Amino acid sequence: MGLILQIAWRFLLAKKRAMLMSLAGIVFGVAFFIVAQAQTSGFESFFIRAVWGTNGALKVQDKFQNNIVTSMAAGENGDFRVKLSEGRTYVEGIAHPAEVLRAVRSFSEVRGSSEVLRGRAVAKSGFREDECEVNGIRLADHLAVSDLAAQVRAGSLADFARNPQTVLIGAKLAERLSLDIGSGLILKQGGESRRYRVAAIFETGVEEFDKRRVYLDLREARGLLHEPEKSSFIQVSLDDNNRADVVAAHMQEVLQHDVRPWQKSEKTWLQVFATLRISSAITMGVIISVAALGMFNTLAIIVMERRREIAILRSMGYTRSDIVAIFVAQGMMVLAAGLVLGCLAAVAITYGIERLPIHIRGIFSADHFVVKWSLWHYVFAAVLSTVVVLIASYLPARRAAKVEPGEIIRGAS
Amino acid sequence: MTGALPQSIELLRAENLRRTLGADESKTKALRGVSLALQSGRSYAVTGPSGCGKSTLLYLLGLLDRPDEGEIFLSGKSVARADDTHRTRLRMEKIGFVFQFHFLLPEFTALENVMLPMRRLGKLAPDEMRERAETLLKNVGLAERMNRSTGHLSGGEQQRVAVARALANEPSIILADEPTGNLDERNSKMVFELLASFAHDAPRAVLVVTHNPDLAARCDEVLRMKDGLFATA
Repeated sequence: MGLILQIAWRFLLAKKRAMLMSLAGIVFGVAFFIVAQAQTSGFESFFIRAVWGTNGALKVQDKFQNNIVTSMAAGENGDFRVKLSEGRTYVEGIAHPAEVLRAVRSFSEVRGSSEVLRGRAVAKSGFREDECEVNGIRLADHLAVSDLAAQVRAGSLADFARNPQTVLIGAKLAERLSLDIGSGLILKQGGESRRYRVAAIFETGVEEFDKRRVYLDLREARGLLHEPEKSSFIQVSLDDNNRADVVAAHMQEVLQHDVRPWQKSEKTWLQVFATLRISSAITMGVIISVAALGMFNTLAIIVMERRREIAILRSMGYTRSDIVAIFVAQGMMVLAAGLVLGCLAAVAITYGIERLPIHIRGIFSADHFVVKWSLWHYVFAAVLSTVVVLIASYLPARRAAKVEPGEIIRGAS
Repeated sequence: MTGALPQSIELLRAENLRRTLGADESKTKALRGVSLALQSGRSYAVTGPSGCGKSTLLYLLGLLDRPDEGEIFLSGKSVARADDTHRTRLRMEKIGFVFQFHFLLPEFTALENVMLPMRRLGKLAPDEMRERAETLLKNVGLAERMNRSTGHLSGGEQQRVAVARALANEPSIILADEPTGNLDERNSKMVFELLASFAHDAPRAVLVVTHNPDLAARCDEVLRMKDGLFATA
């Protein structure tokens, strides 16, 4: 193989310009593929991480009861009976949270579970009032099913844990109400008002949560929301959150409560991301196809220009496989260089994009572009470009190697 | 064919070779039933006007092309319809080519060009290959230029490198297509003498396609072609 590689290398050096064009195509294709992947999946991953960190992997919520009716067929004997499901009756919330919590924790996939009582209230500061979503939690439990600790921008969770008269408040809501750490806050619900102090301000990155959500101690929330026993839902995190849909289906069957995995709760936004991904894949596909076509053309021309050398080598006893190997080796040499340079370019561009200032305030908040760093993007790019270059170099070489050498020499003489 | 020496052996025999070139309206019958035999220790010249089928015959004998009809026997074995791998192996081991335009690889030095067939055959150790290539280049008068890129050699020198390359694997048959076609008289003479000595120094055969009547006259046998047939046939 050393001989074949040497011939390939010499041939390559003799056609520097054409090979540089091919190299540029590979570098561009690889870098673009990786950057596009990093960008497309960046925002999606950011959103999913924020959802997991705030709402957990799944929620066990309303209790349901299957409505079964029995039909009797009017046959001769009249004893053929069929049970039919006629939908479900839902009872809002969880009536016996302690029992359900115990059952949830018996699932081996469950990493953490937190009982939550949720209700609407009005938050009033000295400046203005705004609607908010009160979430009563046990802090220790909730930290196991969320990234709340990491989401705290200011203040102290310890203060919140010690003092039930304190709240954790979303950054946007705090901003709208001009609240800071230690500020007083009144929560009004059902004609009752209670005074609290801001212990900490958190920011999830998801606009919807940050402008509405307030965390209270669970017992305090029960008082405020006049709900002494029931809970709204149990938030659950799993060892593998990506399996939430599978675990949820199993849990629902066992617990007879509606269990919503994050894939279902965030279906709308996930579909938006999926659509964007498809759109990006189409654009990438077109660009990569153009780059591949360029590579194919360049190699086809190089092979055509080398027909005389092919005939010379064949006359000396080089086989068709040798000829194909020489040109495929050339393609692989350019590919190797293209992959290294393309990956380096991708790292540099992705790094640059990640630092690109951008003001996003919508389904989530970001002050710079969000990218996803994944080794798999680089692996996919390497596999894809290898396949493309293999095809682009193999096909014209095989075609040229098939021709009888005399035919080429006759044309070249 | 006649005139073989008593001790010579038949290296190659072709029977009733026919070959049509081109397609549709441009179809030309290049060979119309040519037969010949090459004996060891002899040199042959194939002469004739342009387009009479000389080169086509040479490519068929050298297994670089396939006949439409007819048979070729190399060391007594039928090879015209052998598979490509077998024919490639025979070219590597038994046949050496010298083309009109030398057809060297310009990316390699003279020495490397001569070593290319040996490296593919792989019978010798690297040092032995180098040594043999150096000897061959010395024999063709290129001892001082063997490490030069072939692009930096004159036409005559390039053709001498091509001769050395053709001899690299010690083939039993040398086929030369207008080997002196682009050379001046001095270089033509040198190249021809190299080829002729090759045939006479060992049990080998040399077949030269040429327009040059002086060159042809110096071969042991002259075969004149016209319209795809030997004129003497």
